[in-house]
Amino acid sequence: MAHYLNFPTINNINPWNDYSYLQKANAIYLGSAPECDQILKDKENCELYVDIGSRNLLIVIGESWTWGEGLYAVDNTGKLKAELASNMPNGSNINLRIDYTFSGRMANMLDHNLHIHSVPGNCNNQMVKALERILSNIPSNHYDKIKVVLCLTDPDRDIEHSFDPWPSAKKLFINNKSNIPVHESLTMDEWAKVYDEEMLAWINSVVDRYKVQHNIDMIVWKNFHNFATTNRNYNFKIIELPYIRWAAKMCGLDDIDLPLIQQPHWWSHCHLFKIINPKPDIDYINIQLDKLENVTKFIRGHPVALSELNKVHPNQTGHFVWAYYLIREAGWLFETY
Amino acid sequence: MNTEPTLELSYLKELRNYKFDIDMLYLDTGKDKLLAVAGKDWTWGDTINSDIHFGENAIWYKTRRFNKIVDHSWAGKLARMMKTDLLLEYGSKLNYLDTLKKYKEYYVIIEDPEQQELFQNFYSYKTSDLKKFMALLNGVSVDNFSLLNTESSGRIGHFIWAIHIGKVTKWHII
Repeated sequence: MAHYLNFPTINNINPWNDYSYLQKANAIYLGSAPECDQILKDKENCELYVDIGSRNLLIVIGESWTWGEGLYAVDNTGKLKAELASNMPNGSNINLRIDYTFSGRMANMLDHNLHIHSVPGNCNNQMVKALERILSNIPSNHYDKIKVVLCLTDPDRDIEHSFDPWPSAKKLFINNKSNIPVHESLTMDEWAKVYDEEMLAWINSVVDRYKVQHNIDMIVWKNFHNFATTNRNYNFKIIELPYIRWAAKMCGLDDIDLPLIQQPHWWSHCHLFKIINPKPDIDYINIQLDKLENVTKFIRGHPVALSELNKVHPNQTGHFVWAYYLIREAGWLFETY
Repeated sequence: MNTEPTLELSYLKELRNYKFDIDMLYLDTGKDKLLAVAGKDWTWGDTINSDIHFGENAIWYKTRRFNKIVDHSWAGKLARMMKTDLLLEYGSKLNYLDTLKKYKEYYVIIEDPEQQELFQNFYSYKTSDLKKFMALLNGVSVDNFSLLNTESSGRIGHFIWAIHIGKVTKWHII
């Protein structure tokens, strides 16, 4: 019987040992992400589906952190090599991206089929569109349960036309330059709060549309930022601790203060184009840039990252420990421990 | 004795004093709280060096483990996160705890405990529960799982067990 996904299958993906999730796989399918702009679509095989014959599915949607950019290649005994997975020849890193990402770790612990949508550089509005596409392609009641994990990343990356399904968010960006924030009556802190509320309301509406035909249990997490909104009245669970603050705590630091935006050029736009009213003053911008520097030092310090969980992106250790954390916080496993 | 940090954010950078023997480790960082742990081979670090990702399959000679145990064992990581000094003993009993009377608060964890004394903050677990937990992390049944010489029961497993113990004891919840 044909699979509901029109993806090609692949063979010769070798599990690294008996505990590998791939050891359970009946078939692996590779796909692309049609909602992404061309520059992102160039990253081939950004969509993966692993069939282990389960009646349950785990969908994981994200960007480079979910793709596994910080993973190191391993040799045929599982020993780490110096080479990053993202630098390996196309297609040769599929087993790494399944077995060593938090997605594969979670699917392995849960014994679920796995659908990964992970595009390096991906933006939030394209990820919500991908969520809708993936859910719409699954026949009704095909699975007993569908669990979804979605990462919200830096708002700086959003593409204006990808807000078409949720036009109320468009007002937060300047026309044709959607990575520039704009508003006539919001401070930057207020802008971040409204942005969160727009994105979360959009996700909520997507889940609402499919909850009759699918039994959905979903979590949303952030890698770089705190959730600026305090609203928690959604049909999914918010993971309160962003990855970077979680990693800092895991490494024994008290906490780490996060900036509103992960890109320094954002503040140049605010300052030069005078598009946020009231305009953030230079002291405010400098505080934000101090926070950004601090975060960068933690995950990308020289000569090595301060975090043993990251080399910019999560490494093998970061992925595995984060998988445990997400699954525990979602309440999907380890409840009896 | 090698007390050199093996991590950028190593707890060994706060080291003031230490004791180390074939069956005990004491890390003094000047805190007023002590985490005291007694555990078996896995807790004592038998897999933190054999972790397949880190490329060393030999189990080291026990007397050379000090800095690796502090940096990579679950007890060392939990002490780091809880900001306590650390007493770690091999076995199911704390023999050296009576020699450390200076602390305001004690947090005691014993694997398969042989000790019956009452401690104010006390937690124990069975080795079989640890093994079940690690099997679950690896996505396999406990019957098909070995606690030694596997990926997730190595350093990464220690990391996860540390935050798990912090959570179940409610002593340090992340």
